[in-house]
Amino acid sequence: MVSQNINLLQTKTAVQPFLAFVQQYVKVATVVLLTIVFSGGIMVGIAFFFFGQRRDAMETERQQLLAQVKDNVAKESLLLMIRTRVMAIDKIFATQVSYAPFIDTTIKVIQSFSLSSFSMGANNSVSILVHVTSLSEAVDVLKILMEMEQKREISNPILQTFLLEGENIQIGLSYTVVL
Amino acid sequence: MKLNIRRIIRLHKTLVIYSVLLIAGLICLFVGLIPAVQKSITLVQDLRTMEEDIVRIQKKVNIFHSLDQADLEQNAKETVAAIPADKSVDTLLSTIEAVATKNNLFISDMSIEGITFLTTGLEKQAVKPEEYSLTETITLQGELIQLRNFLSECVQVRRLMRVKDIKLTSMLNSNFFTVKLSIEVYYLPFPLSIGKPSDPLEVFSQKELATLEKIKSYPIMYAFDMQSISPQEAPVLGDVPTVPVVLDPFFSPKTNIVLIPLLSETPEEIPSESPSATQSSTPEPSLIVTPTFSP
Repeated sequence: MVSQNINLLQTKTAVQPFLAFVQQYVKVATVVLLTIVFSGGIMVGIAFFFFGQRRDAMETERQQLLAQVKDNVAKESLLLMIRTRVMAIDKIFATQVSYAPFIDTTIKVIQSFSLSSFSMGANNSVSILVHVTSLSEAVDVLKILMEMEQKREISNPILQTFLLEGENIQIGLSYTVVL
Repeated sequence: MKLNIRRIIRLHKTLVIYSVLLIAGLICLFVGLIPAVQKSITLVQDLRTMEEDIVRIQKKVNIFHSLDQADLEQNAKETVAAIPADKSVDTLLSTIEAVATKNNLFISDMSIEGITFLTTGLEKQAVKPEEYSLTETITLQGELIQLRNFLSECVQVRRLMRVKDIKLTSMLNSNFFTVKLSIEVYYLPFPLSIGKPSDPLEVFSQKELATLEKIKSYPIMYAFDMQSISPQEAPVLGDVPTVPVVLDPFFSPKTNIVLIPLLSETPEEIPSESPSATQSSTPEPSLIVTPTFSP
């Protein structure tokens, strides 16, 4: 292009090559960054608007539901009360033991003989004191005990004491009832 | 100096403008955009949480709609009859005496430990539910089979109890026995609060329903005149009552201690006529209640 300027001196000072190189990159970086900032800003703005609307709607719905929950607070209280009681009842059921089977087993052991005392020990063990009037009756009691052990109705039969006083014989026995 | 700066700006005008724009863009990025993105992520997470909350609360509301308040109140009464909210010594004594009388047993001695305050609200709250118990020691007299039936039935009545210890001795020259029982009975105060409205709620499980049915099958052996469990008595959200919800019957002017066994559900199970053969051969039954008050 033909210059119309008759001034022979240069009006602009030439840009240093290094700065020209930097300027190129700064220009590209600026354009990219500003594009990101603007487009990102618009997207975030849209997201804020959309999610904000949704949050407000959900919050309204939540508040309505919470109001319904508060209206039914009596039902909730009753439900909770029943549940805590049922849990406690379950725990009690788990620890409840009927001593009737132990008495039944003892009645089988003593048959028609006289029972002087009965007490429960640990792990389903029972200690009894039987009163008989003759040695043959004492032997009968022990036989019954052994038969029951063979039938696995009881286990660990132990003759604890044997006391003979004239016609009175007291036999102390212990055994574990198999439930 | 100023001239120098002006000269530099004039010489590198384009570079300066782009540099300023770049710095402004970076400031916008770090001060505006990144925090805004972080807030958006938080907002999305909040929305998810809120959505889960709504689903949970909706489920809770649906459960409420499926429940009948009258049924709940009935079930609550049934369970309170098994485990009262306070120590309810009158129901305890009535139950024991009713089961003993039904089996023609004579109560020769009775004492209760662990009463302390008669009203549950006045004492220190127990840490575990199992700590809400009273121990009653009772001495009964009767035949061995009658004692056996008592032991069988006392764990199958409402006002739940557990026989802790048993010691049986024969009475001289008779078929009668004396049995000393240590019985543990339970009570459980009403819950003080029901938590947050958004807390999850489940309907009764099959196991819980089975337990409810089982406890309903147990007869009530005392005068069942429990206070109605109305919504007003139920614990309110976050509210902690300053007085016990159900007062001890000893403190209530309306309630009388009933020592004569009365049945509300199964009247045919208790023989109306007393005294029995056991009682006629022994002195007149006397019920001695010895509450043990802690210092």
